[in-house]
Parts: sequence; C-alpha cells; structure tokens
Amino acid sequence: MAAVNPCRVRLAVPERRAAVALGALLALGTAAAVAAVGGAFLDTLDISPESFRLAAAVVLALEGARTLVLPRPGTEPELGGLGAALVPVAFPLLLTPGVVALALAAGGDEIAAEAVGALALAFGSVLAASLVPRGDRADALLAAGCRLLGAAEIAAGIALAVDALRDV
Amino acid sequence: MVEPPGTSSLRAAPSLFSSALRRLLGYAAVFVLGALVLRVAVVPAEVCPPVDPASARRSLAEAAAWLERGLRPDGRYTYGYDRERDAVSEDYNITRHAGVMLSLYQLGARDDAEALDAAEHGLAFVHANLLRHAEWTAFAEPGQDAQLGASGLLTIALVHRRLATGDDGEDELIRRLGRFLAAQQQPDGSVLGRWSRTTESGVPGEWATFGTGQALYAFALLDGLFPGEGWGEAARRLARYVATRRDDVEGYVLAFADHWSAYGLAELGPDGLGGPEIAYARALAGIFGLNSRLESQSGEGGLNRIFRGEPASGAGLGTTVEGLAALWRLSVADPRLGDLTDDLAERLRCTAGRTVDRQVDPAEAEEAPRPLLARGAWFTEDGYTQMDHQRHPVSGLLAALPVLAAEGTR
Repeated sequence: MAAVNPCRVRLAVPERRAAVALGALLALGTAAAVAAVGGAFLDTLDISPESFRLAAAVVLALEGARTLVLPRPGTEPELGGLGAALVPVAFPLLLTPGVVALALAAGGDEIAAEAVGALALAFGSVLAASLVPRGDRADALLAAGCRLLGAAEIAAGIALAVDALRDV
Repeated sequence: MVEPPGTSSLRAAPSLFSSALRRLLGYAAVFVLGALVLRVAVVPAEVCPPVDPASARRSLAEAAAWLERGLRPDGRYTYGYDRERDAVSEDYNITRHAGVMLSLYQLGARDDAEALDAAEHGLAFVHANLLRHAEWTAFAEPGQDAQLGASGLLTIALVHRRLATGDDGEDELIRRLGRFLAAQQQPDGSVLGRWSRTTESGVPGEWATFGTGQALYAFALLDGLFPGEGWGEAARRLARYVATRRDDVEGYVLAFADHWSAYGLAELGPDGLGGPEIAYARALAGIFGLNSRLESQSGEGGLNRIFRGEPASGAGLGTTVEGLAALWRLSVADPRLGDLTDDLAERLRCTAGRTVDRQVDPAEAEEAPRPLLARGAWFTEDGYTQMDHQRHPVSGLLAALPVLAAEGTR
C-alpha cells in the first residue's frame, strides 16, 4: 500500500474513472508478469532472493524519502481517451520503481500470488481514492496522507532490509 | 486566417503522444540507471564455483600438507609466510598452535596418519608451555598471563585427539584445562578472558572475543567425554549467557559471526538448548548467511573490490564454512531450526566452493619464491598467509563434506 501510495496517485490521476480502472488492471497484469518471472530473472543475474530484498528495501526507502520531500507529484502528460490508462495511470503512477522491485522480490521468494493479491488490494484503494473530489482542502488532506504513506514506505524498506540481513 | 474546426485537436494529439513518450523514455532511463547502480553497489552477482567431495578433499589435503610441512623440532608449526618479501614470520601464537592441532586431529580421526603424526608432535610444544595452579592447568607461555582462548582451544584439540586415537593418556590434562575454564566462569555464566600471573586471579571485566565461544564448545565436548562431571551445566550456563547477554555485557554493537559458539550449540544438541539458545542459533545462521552472500559478491578487482572490500582470507572463508556447517548439523538434529537446513546447505556449498577456488594450486605455487610455502595456502591481497588461513579451511571443508556428498546424490 505504501509503495502504491493511493493519495499520491489521486493527486495526479486523470479525472477519467474508466481510464483509471483500466490502468489499474494493466498495472496489475504487468506486476503479475514481473512477479512470475522474478525468480528466473534473479537466477539469471546470480542474485539470491535475500540479497535482492535488500535492493528492494533501498528502492522503497529512497522512494519514501522522495515522497516525504515532494508529496505532490508533478503534472504528467496524458494520452487521450482510454490511452490515459497506459500513460500516466499504469506508467508511471502505479508501476513505480518500488512496486516493480517488490514484484521481483516476491517472484524470487516464490510468493508471487500473495504479492499480486496485495497489489490488487492496493490498486483497488487507488480506484476508491479516485472517487474523492479534488479541491483545496481535499488536496491538502491527500498531500498529508501522501507524506504519511511515504514515511510508511521508508519504514517498510527498513523492515525489509532487516529481514534480508537476518535471513540465511 | 480561420482554421477549419478540429484542426487544433489534430495538432494537439501528436504533441501529446510525443510528450508522453518522452516522459516514458525518461522514466525508463531512470529505471535502467537505478537498476545499474543497484546492480553494482547492492546486488552484484553472487559467484559460487562448483565444488564436490573430491575437490574438497584434494583442497584440504593440500592445506593439511602445508601445515605438516611446517612442523619444527620443538613442536611448533610455521606461523606465517610473506611471498612478496619472501619472509617466514618469526611470530607465534599459542592459541593458533592449538587450532592447528585441532584441525590435524580432525583429519587424524579420518585415518590420515600424517596429520595425526604432525598433531602429536605439536604436543611437545604444549607440554613445554603449561601453567599449573591449584586444581587447574592453563596453556600459557612462561611469564605470560593465561588466555582463555588458548586453553579453550587446546581442550577442544585434546578432546578431538581422544576421539581420534582412543588414547586416554591426556585425560588428566584435559580435565585440568577444563577446570581452568570453569575457574574463569562467573556467576552470570560468562567467562573471563585472562588470568593474571601477578594477581593470581581472573581479570575482571575482560572477555575474549572468540575465547567465550571456545569455552562453550570445550565445556560441551567435555560433557560428552566425561558425562556427569558437571561440564554440561557449565556449558548450558555459558550458552544461556551467550544467547541472551553477551552482546550487551561485552559491548558488541553488531552481533559477530561466532563460529565457536556455533560449534558449541551444535555439540550441546537439541536437548541442551532452550528457546533463547535456538533464537540465538537462528540469528547466528543469518549472520553467517549474510557473510556468505557478501563474500560471494566480492572480487579481487574492479567495482566489486570497491563496494565489497578485500575478499575474505583463508581464515575468514574457513570460519564461515565452519559456522555454517555447525549450524547445518544443528538444524538437521533440531526441528526448531529445520526450516533453515536447505538454505544453510546452499550457503555452505557456495562458500566451500569459493574456498576451494581461491586456494593456491601447485602450478600457481611455482611462481612463489618458495613454492612449498605457497602451495595449498590462501594468501591475503598483500601476499601474506598464516597457519590459521590453512587450518580453518581444513576444519571447514571437513565439516562440509556431508553436505557436498548429499548434493551429489540429489
């Protein structure tokens, strides 16, 4: 949830719910594919799952730090019509480096199904967040939520790093 | 000029697409660059050279031959050799002397007559350097304080001698050494690192980094050899201290890879270990696993050298293999650690493979000024090798053989 950060996504997502829903599906499918090949990908690069978890932890921590400093994302170009599902919804709003790293790590740890399930929930929360009407007050609350989730992402990164360092 | 209706949206569509494409390419570039940085600095390739029981046996035989060739008339062994300066070290360390004897006795238990003979010759130096006091004896050079580690490791070596030969001729010395260790043990289970000849007492507040684990292993071995004499209680008290308080009391900010404690826990076995000791064993397994992974990512040059530092010495490699092997044995015997068995075996195979791979072979040894002091050895980056750089891989590879053999049958 922290890596997806629905509050941050809401601040940048287009006001086209169909595109948001389709983009979430696209992102989920892509993440599932990444997780499915994650184990083989890490094997090819001679990276143990434990070591890659450390890399994922670094990505989460950096991403979380960026969100703390810049909670409101910049304006993203949008493709017309349902094309917005691809840009910017799937790429770059939902398929962040943190999400991709976590999907790969899940593949390496052979918990791809659980990870995809968790992502489905997170992307579902993005859809729910897209129902929040924008406005000055709402945006301020979303920005605060963004920072909170950014801090949570840093904490998740630290926890993942500790877990990776302790694992055999 | 008035534009026809729809023209502005037609002009806008291509520019939107190209803008989105540029943005996407920018993100892709960030992804790729970030991935490269992570690859170099955080997750370089983990290289695990293949190894099998035959290559491991050849390797430890070469290392043992290095130790055996270094035997001197007074019972000491060659301590160290610098191939860059072609200089044999005049230093000596009696704790490491005991360690060499241990590894040679471990080989002797596998019917290696030459190793056994070399170990027996080392006894001459031992008997010339014993400190007798009251009911105990310590292994200490004349005029030197008695160090916990030297006596602990000698106890371990002599127990292994007993197991290898069946000869009970040193049983009294073994018990007296054990009583020295017990005399150093405090009410909280800890063991003081040094006994002072001046004050004729243990030095308060001074502990030995590896001596504590050596004492633990020694107590556990003594309990196996002489059951019912109280050694088991000493071992369990020390194990509880190591598992719950040692890091705080002795000031270790980061837990360290204590292979001697791993040996001790494995020797105590499931019946001797409570919840805290099992938790400590699990944490120790993580430390050795991390060490193994970091070592497998290291290299002798390039970016790996920058981000991972100097590759481990022979002693570093060997102690990692020893620690992993001891914990693997414990995980096989104790269901509470059974989930670690496969991972421990995998890390063990990797580090064993790297150990064998980095040893100086006969062809490489010919390039050294004294080939016989290079052959079978592991050298540091600055061209130095030392007895423990050979003896730890001997003990480690011996302990790894069951895992390597099992891999061959999978």
